[in-house]
This record gives sequence, C-alpha cells and structure tokens, in this order.
Amino acid sequence: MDEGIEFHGVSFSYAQDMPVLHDLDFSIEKGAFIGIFGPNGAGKSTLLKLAAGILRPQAGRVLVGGMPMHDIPRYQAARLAAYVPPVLVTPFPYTVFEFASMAYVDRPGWSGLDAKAKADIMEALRMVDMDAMHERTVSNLSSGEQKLVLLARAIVQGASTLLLDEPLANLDMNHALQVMQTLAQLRQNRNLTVVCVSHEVNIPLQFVHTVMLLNQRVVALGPAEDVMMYPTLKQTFDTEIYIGRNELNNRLFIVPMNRQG
Amino acid sequence: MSRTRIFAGLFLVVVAALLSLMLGPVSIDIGRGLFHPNSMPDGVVLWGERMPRTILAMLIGGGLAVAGTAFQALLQNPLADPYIIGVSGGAAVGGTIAATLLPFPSVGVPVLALAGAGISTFLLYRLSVDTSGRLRVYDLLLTGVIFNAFAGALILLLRAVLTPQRGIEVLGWLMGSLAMYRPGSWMVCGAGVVILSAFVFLLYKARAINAIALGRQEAMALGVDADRLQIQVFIAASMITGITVAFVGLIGFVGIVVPHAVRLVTGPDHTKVLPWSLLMGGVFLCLSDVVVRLGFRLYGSELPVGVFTALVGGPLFIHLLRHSHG
Repeated sequence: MDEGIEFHGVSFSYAQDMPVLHDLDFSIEKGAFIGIFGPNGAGKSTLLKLAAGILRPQAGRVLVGGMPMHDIPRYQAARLAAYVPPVLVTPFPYTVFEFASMAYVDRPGWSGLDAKAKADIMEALRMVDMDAMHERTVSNLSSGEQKLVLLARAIVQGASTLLLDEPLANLDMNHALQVMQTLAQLRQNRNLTVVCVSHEVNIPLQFVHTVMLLNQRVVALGPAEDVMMYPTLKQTFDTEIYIGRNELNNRLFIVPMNRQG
Repeated sequence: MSRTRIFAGLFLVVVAALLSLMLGPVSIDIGRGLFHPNSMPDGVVLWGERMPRTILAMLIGGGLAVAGTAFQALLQNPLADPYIIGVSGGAAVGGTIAATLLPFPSVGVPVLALAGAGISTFLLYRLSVDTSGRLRVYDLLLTGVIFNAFAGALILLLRAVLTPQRGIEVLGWLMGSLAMYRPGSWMVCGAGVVILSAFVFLLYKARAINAIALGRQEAMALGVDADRLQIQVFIAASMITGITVAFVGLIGFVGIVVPHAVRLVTGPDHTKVLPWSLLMGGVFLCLSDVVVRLGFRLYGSELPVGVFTALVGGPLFIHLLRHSHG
C-alpha cells in the first residue's frame, strides 16, 4: 500500500525466553513524523534497529519502502532507512568531514571522493549548520554538535527514512529544540519519514504528528491528542502523571508527579 | 600539501632502500654491483644478499604495519596488534612445528606459519563471538594474551626435542631477524604476492573499514555487511601476519607504532592510513635492519631486528599514547 514502514507480526528477543517485542503489527506512512515513547526496556531501540534491518526478527516481516529489510543487501537497506545512534563513539579522531563521508562505504578506498560526493557531504553539513566546522575533530565537539554530525552523515546516506535513537539525550533545552527544528526542516525539504525514539517527551511532542506508545507491544498509535491519555500513560509508565496543555502553542505536555507528595 | 607529503614519503622509501643496499659488513660499490651482477664482491653481495634482504624488510615492515592497522580498526582499539591478540603466536607455533619435522629453513615454515595464523585467528574469533555473531572485543584481547602465553609454552616444548644446533637456529628465527633466514628469491616473491594482495584488498575496503571501526551495528547501519567484512579483514590480516612470522619471526611493535605515527600525520582515515602504513612500516624496518647490521659489528655479531624494534618501539609507543591523549 504505502511506501513507509510496515511491521507484520514481528517478535524479537535477544536471549531465549526473554522476548523484548511481541507480535508488532503496524504501519507508518511515508513522510510521517513520529515519536515513539515508552519506559526503560520497552524495546524502543530494538524496534528502530529492526526497522533499519540491523537486527533480524525471530518472527514476522519488516518492510521499508516495500522492501524486506533483513533480506536485501546491507548497502541497499542503508539507502532505505538510516539508523542514527544515540551517541557518537569513535576510537579514532576522525574529522567532521571524514565522519560524514563514511556513508560512502561502497567506494573503493584507493579512489578519492569525486566532486559531487564532496559537494553532497558539504551540503549535508550545511543543512545541520556544521559546514564551518568540517575540519574539526569529532571527539572534540560538544554533545549537541556530535548529534548534528551524526544527522549529517545520515543525510549523506541518502535514506528516505531517518530512524533516530534518543536524538535529544545529553542535550540542553536549546540544543534539543535545535535538533528537532533541524529534523522538521529536513523532513519537509527532503520529504523524509522521521522516527524519533526518545525519553524526553515534551520537546518531541511540539513537533511530531504521530505518537506511538511502546511497552514491548504497541500500546497506542495515532495522533498525539488521541494517544496521550491519562489512563494509558499512567499504566504504560507505571507512574502518576499530569497532562497539561501549553496555552501559547496549544501543544500537550506531561509531567510525572511524586506520589508521596 | 598532500603532494609534498607524497614526495616526502617516496623520498624516505628511496633513502631507506639505498642505505640498506649500501651499508653492511662488506663495503661495496653499488653502481658497479648493479650492472655487473657476477662481480665479486659488489654484484654478488648486492644481488645475492642485500637486495632480497632490503625488499624483504620493506615487505615485512609494511605488512606488519598494515596488519596492525587492520586489527586496530576491527577491534576498535588503537592498541591492537597481531602480536598482542595472539595471531603471531599461532604462526610461530606453526613455523616451529615445521622446523621440528622438516629441514630448516624450508618452504614448510611459511606454509605451517600461515596455517598456524589461520587456525589461531579462527579459534580466537570463535571464542570471542557470541551467539548472535557479535565480536566481544575484550574477550578477544584477553584470549589473545592467554593464547600468546600458551603458544610460548608450546614453542619451548617443541624446542626441547630439537637438536641444540637446530634449537639455536629456531630461537634466532623467532627472535625476529632478517639475517637468520635466507629464502630464495621466489620465496620473497611469494611473500610479496601474499602481503600485497592482502593489502590491496584492505585498501579496496578502506571506507567500509572506517565504518567498522565504529562498531558492528554502526557499520551495518551505514550499509556494510559487517559480519562478512570482519571475517574478510581477519583473514587478510592474519595471512599477512603468518607470512611475516614465517620469514622473520616475531617482530613486535611495528604494527602499533607505525600506524600510530602515521595517524598523527594523515589523520585516522583508512584510505590514507593503510597505504602510508605500508610505506612507513617498510622504511621503519629497513632502517632498523641497517642499524642492527652495523651497530654490533665491533662485537662480530648482529642484533635480531625484533629486539631493536622493541627497544625503540616500547618507549616510542608510550610517548605516542600520551601524546595522542593530548
């Protein structure tokens, strides 16, 4: 039907008899901007890695753009969906440019990158406002800048679906907003499908159109207004919760509450 | 800038080669030797002795540095080295078995050393990969350390059954010397083919190797068939290791020090680190060999080049490590 992300009866476990995800059945349409929320151990990162084809489900099928992600060649899969890890970790001090150019894994090492590839890398860095820093060493950047470099690399990868694992972790409010704004722009300019897995709920809620609550199963999936309901949230996160509405932008927000207080 | 760098690199290679051809216990006229291969001593020493030794030093040094680079990327650890993870130890056991059963030196040494490197790599890999195919890097490093100790014991065990003369020869070979072993030129060619083809393969995959240095899942996310590449790089690097051990024994530190030094100049991109490691590893071992050839002439002896690289490499490595952490 659509060319987005489809999970058909997907189950996954890392160890025997310890299933992380049960029988996931859903589809996300092309061009969607979706936030996935859930408690620790809900299987959020696992879901993203399944969608990227990095993990192979024990049961069921995962399709992106109509293609079965774990049956097609890795290179092709990485051009359909780009998994963006939560932190940039490298044993070697690559420069920003070198790091972003890693998306060209198929090119032989003895030929330099052609002018078009170089221009594409600089364009991607410009989109995340990191072009001026392209000669800096990634290990010396701030967490926020590192996130932007990871994002730029995913853009160079050329995938139509971005799968972001905790894109806001370790970021202050300002940088978190900046990353979400960049994602929103990218999605619009390049017609991307953007999936964000996040523990931080309120900042993504100001941007995404669709919300999934995940707790080893899909608890709810739909527009934020329908999904962010008191009983569902309270049960999913197993905590007392206050749901409010920001009067200025009319967006929902949630605050956990101290039960002893 | 990069053009000057290429000229500087080639200049170093030429200088190291010339020094290695010119200097030695017998002084010769290179120009005369070059065009009169049968002249005594110039031609005979040049073509029969110094040329193969220089080429071998270039190949082995380059090979060691390239293998070190490959293992470092694979294990995501700039301290990895064929010697440390135990692949050299496996190759040394193979070579020692050949020396025990067959005449020494013989073609059996490189063959069994390759087999030893292959088997130890396979075992190390099997012992360090979990059920889902992930490589547990710390398991591998630790297994390597244990494996080295075990290989050392096996070698001493084998040495106990050798004649004293053969035992001294084998020990001399294992200590890492370019002088002990006098292979025919076709064997040098064979070593060259193995080392250079493994290098060409690694360079071809250099961009994917950049990605795998970030970890298996990240490489997969970038479009690399990581499990397959891991095995391919393991095979290529252990083939190089097997050949180097077969020809010159255990030469440590070249695989750590040279890639480290190269990275300080070129940065960590493997499309640059691999070719520069090949060249600079050759230069380093060639010059080290010149030093050991000349340094102990007074005593009528030659230091094994492995002893020299360890003496220079150990402190230099500590320095590089501190330097790289700013």
